[in-house]
Amino acid sequence: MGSFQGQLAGWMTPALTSAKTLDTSEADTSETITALVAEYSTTLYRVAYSVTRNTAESEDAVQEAFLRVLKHREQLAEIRDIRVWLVRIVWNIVLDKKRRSKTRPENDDVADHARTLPTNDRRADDTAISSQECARILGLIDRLPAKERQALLLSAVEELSTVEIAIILQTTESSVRSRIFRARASSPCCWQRKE
Amino acid sequence: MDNFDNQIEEKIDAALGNLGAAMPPLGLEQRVLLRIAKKNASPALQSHVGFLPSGSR
Repeated sequence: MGSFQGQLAGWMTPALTSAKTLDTSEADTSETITALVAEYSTTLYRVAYSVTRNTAESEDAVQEAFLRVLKHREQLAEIRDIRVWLVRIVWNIVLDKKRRSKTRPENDDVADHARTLPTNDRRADDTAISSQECARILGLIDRLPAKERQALLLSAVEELSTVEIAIILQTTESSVRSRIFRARASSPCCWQRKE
Repeated sequence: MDNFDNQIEEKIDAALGNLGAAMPPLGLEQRVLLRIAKKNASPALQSHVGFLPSGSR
């Protein structure tokens, strides 16, 4: 409860002036929650998956995020930007789990990663090879310092802008750009050492 | 060297692109709603996802 209240801090607004705020009277709760799940589940899943690289853990994080929303649904109407707020909730959930497990977030389950790749016209053999290559690259990215790694991983989620990433990471937009630049600049060095 | 770096950049872009566009498993939304309905006493939400509490059948 305490940590969730902390997540609310700075997100509350006294007036419903934003188009992104929601009407969440008791009668509309189920419709509101259902609409949020329909609209944001995929984005939240991708954010969680960028950290966990595990389908089941990512889905569990999404479910946990919406359970927290439900628990505090009376405050929904006061949230300025629902999407970024939801992303931040799921982001904190997966980071908390990662800290508790004290293991590296990613798994090396190439088959699991392959199942979640966007579908395209490539042959199955190509996809399998690409999955291994992706896993290798992501493994190198995971060696980056936390701030750079987190900014880079969030930048991979196509629905998120740099401004939104800055809000999620509680920093400035320029800092996010700097972190992403440093991450990308150092990744080839990691790669070369690996070679 | 530049060519090597470019290749690495392309691979990083591809890996991040795949990661950021990961497709959620089928039925994710329904399972999220079902879990919420199980945790929540709201008849409206339970009705919405077709969830019947045990003993109600």
